[in-house]
Amino acid sequence: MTNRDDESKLIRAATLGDASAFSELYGLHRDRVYGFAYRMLGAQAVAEDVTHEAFLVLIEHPERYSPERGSVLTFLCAVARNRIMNHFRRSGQELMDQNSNETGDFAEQEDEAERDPLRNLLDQELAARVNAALKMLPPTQREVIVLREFQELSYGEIANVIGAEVNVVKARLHRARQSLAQRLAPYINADRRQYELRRN
Amino acid sequence: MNCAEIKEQLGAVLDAALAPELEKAIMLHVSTCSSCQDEWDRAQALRSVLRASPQPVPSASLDARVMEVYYQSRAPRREARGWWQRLAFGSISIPKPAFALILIAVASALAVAIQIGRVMATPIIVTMSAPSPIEGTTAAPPPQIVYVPVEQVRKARDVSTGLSKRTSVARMLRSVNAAGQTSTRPLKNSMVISSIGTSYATEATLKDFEPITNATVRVIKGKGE
Repeated sequence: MTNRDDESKLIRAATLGDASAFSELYGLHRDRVYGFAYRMLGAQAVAEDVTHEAFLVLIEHPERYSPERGSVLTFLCAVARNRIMNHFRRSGQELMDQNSNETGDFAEQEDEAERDPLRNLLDQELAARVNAALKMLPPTQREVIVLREFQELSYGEIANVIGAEVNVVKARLHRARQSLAQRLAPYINADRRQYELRRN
Repeated sequence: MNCAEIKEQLGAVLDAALAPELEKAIMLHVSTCSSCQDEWDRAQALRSVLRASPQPVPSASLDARVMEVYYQSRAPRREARGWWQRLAFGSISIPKPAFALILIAVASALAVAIQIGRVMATPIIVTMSAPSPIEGTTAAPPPQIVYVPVEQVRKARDVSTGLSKRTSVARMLRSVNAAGQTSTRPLKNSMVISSIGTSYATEATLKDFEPITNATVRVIKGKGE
């Protein structure tokens, strides 16, 4: 991952018209911004719109990004978060209610021939279960767990994105994990055995 | 710290968000407590399950949309032109019927403006037409003319402000009674008169004017004295 100086250079170059610099920036952060939007909203089209809007802000208002305040990813996720919350407010309900069983929007391995079909099926099922469990979380818990577990932002970065204190992030993460652990218990129990085996 | 507090911190340990000394103390406890150990295993397993979930992937159209926006935002901008320049150079396209209507509207507005200008340039003369013949007389008294320059003639249907104080015209009403005696009376009361011409209607408010019974008032254009 590029450090902040490298990112600042890329943004400067992109602002001056260097398409390859922008393309590099976009490639670095597209999946994570989209992943955040998708796991919050549960719908590909809307998640793509949110991702598009986040990069649009970076393109049209690069002056709004400040390296002192955080990384480019943090900036993009913060913009995406605002759009996501606007969607929730406008729609009156979370979009995940409408599209809770999408299974066709997840990563497919590049070399399909080498993938075990059963593995594919299990992955699809797991994705659906995880999505369903995330959907049950209130948005304030969902966003912190998604940013932590999937986008791997630090507590400070998450606090930056959602505009809250670190101890709030910590408390919401704890509650989100407890809820998810209950809903994903069969998968967790199966997975726990490996830790027990390692100790024994 | 008790077990409940330890368990609350396990997520933060997993996230490497605690000070090293605190983390060390917690893990020391976990290693000796089966309940906390169980919770620690669950926390790790949860992370493992979540991160095993495949990453959602956007469609190819998203890349095209974003790059297109980038290219458009960085495209050289056309030299800004005023609308009239664009009209002159043909950059603005106006359908012929619409253009014809615009021309007609402009010509009409000019004509009205000229008409109003003519009206405003000339004082209005208020004339009192002859009152009804006095019973018993054979001839109607001649009409009494009062020259009343109106300070401002507004547009059709607007009420003017009335007599101008600046005028030097006598603001008196001459009347002739049946006996032929002339008398003058000061204009006292306000009166609204109107005259509808062929192309405009003008209302003039006269201040301090005392109407004459059975008289009609006519507003005509003309030069004041």
